[in-house]
Amino acid sequence: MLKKFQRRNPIKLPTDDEIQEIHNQTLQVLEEVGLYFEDEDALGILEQNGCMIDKKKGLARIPNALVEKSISQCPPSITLRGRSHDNAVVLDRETVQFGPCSGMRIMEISSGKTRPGTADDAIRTARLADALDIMAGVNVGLGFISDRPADINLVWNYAICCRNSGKIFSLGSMENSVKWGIRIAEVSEQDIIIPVSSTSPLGWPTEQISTVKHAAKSNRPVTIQSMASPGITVPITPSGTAVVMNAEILGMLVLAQILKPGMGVIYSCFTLPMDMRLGTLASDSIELAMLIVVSAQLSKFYGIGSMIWGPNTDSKAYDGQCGYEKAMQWLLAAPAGINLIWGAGMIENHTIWSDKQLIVDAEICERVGRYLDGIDTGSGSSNFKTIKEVGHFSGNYLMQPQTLQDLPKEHYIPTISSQHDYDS
Amino acid sequence: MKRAESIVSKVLDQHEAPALSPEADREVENILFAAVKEKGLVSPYLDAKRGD
Repeated sequence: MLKKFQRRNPIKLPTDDEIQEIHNQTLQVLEEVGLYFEDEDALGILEQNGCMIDKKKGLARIPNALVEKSISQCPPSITLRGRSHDNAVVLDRETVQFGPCSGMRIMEISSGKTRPGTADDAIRTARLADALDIMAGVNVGLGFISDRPADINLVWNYAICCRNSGKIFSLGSMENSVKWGIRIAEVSEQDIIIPVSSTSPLGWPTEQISTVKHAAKSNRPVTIQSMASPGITVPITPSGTAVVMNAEILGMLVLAQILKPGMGVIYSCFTLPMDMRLGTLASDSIELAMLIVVSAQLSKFYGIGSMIWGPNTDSKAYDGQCGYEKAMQWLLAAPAGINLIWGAGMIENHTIWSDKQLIVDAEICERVGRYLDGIDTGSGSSNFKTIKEVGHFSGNYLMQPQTLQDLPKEHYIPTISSQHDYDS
Repeated sequence: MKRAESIVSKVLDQHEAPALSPEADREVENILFAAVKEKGLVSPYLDAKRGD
């Protein structure tokens, strides 16, 4: 049965007043600067609903009232169901779940070398994610299957997902694959994650708008993600990035609510920081982790669910860098209350998939989940009883029945980490 | 990390993924075939299965 955790008192980075300020600045951007929609039909729909349209430039300036109304139409809770109800994923104010993501190449389990993945690899990764109770869904470990036609690679992925797992699975919003993914999900009776990605700054391309239309037509929620790159496509400051990210997400949320009032919307920070010295992706960065916390706060401010496609590492191997970078993002995203943390199994950003890393990440998720379970202070009376009974040195707690009784629920026992001493 | 390697094999050996019903599986195959056809592609995998 899928493991879920609750986060009732999420951590915050900006204060509530600062979140309000980010919201206010976002409204100003939407109303005065506007968003680019690469779709005449979408611009026409937005115009009919009170937006100021510049058809020549493809811009829609969205009035504050329409933004506020659209936010209020979003459902506060979304449940995505697998073929079995045991695997239902909840996106609301409190629930936290973990999931796997994907890579473009696969890392050989024993040699650590990478190579293009095959359909057999994809089947194995789907089965592996399906087997792990801590994983909320499957996302075929490979973004590209080298022995299947490139033009319909994603559709093949979806077929592999539903044939090898009863859990929810994720679509990609490329190569016009979404309509096929929705049809497959209808047949397999599995809910799906339908992501759409902005083109920063402040743009929504045709293909992504088309994906939202498909989602609206099929009455399925959409995950709206901003792919802003600080210092390149958005301001380099985290606050400036947050404003543009928020404007991109809210702008598409408005279109989604016009297309289908009440449509489920999931808020997603997919910020892509760069190493400004090298021009390479720096998805391990602490600033990304900070923006993830901000995105959790904004999603709760709006009363909608949230997800991320992480945590990420820039490491190229199973090493210390991989461990601390991923663990740090997990340990901020989960206590912040991101509902679906969808990034296990990845190495080197979203480039490499590793079955072994999925197992390691599953253990990290279990530990983070233990943290989310928190401390049960309701057992105060039994604490006192035992403390009194044991008394002082040389008394001990090893022989106390309470110790044995509480051990399984109070202490996470790792399956991978070695806790043996040096000589054993 | 050696433990993680052995866990991968163990998990896969012990796990039986929930299968689609034969009808649903056939329908998924048809969708895949339709996607291939729409792109004007030839798929040796699907064509062989369907006997085309």
